[in-house]
Amino acid sequence: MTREEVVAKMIEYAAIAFEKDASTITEDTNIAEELGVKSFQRVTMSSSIENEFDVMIPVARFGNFKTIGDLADYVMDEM
Amino acid sequence: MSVLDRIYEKAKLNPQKVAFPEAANEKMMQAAYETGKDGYIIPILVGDAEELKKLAVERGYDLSVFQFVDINDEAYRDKLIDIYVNLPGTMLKQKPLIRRMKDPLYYAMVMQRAGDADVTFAGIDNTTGDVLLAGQTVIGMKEGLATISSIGLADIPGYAGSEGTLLAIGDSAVCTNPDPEQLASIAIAACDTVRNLLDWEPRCAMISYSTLGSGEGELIDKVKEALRIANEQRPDLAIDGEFQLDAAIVPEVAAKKVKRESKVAGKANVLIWPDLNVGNTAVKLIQQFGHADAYGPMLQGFNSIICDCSRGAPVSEIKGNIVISAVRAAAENKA
Repeated sequence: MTREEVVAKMIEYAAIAFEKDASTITEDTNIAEELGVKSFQRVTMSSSIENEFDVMIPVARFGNFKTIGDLADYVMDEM
Repeated sequence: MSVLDRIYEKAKLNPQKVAFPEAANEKMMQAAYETGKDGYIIPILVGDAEELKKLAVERGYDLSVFQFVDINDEAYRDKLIDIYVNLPGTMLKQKPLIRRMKDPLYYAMVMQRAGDADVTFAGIDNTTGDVLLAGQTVIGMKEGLATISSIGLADIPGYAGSEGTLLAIGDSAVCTNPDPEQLASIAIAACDTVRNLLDWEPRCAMISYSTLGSGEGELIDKVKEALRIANEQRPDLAIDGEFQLDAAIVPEVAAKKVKRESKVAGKANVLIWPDLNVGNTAVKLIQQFGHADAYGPMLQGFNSIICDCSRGAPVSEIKGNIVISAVRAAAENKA
């Protein structure tokens, strides 16, 4: 899977988890500032990633990923 | 009869299946055994079944009191996964579940979600964060609620409130800085919790340093907005405010400060703090100066009941929290 495809998946999952319009999310979107910090939303996003990529994202580490692109890079590294 | 005695009696009428993913722990196994032997619950020990049986025998327990679930039993695990993934609203698919169910905490919660347990009881080995995370991932949140939270039940010697010495308070443990929507969810969930556990008709006060506009500012605005949301979402519940603590629980003060009709002012039996700074301090004040016994925290907001007990809890406290969780689950199952 290419990085673009992983980013697209991240945007799709973020839109569901944070209840946002996917067209407003890009790889530069700041997760905490523009999407939210609620733990249930992070759990929802982490679960989607784990289901699709078999990559576990510890919720305690979720806050370390500033942007959607950062999250995609981590998933690419762990795949 | 104390409030806890009443809750124990209630539990006996309809014993619930309680899953213990930390059953190897000596205090946890003792609490599970004693509440099971006395008929308050049906204890299900989840883990390496052979090891758990060996420990139970060494500790002198009658094995027939327990049900054992072996997390190495792949056939049963796969059956649970099959049920789980077909339930609406569940988050994890088969492969992540197989990985996570190596941890008894996740195994127990999948059992619960699949209907083979009514409660998951943990917290003696796992951190609160572990339990909350597993709960949010596997059990999920109750529809319409914006946050996980908790309430406690304080039994305060000398207090003569609308429920005698008892007062329900929340959130003093989980949700740090709720926004208005979350604060409304805490109040709504608290009302349901006390109704299920104690058969109270909840009268819930949203606490602030202001009573009905006696003060101004963003801290008060948050509480007012939360009240608006709570009343809109659940008009059937008596939730009112914003009230100072004395206006909420002292009829004479309420008569002076609340110049409109209120089902809550002066006779609140549930107090909702505006944030965890207040909540945590308040419960410690009640304990230190009011010499209260505090039961809980009772987690609320999940699709079904899970309990996170204190890691330093003595067996007597663990037993109390097991039985409280079981009674809450029985009420939710009936609803």
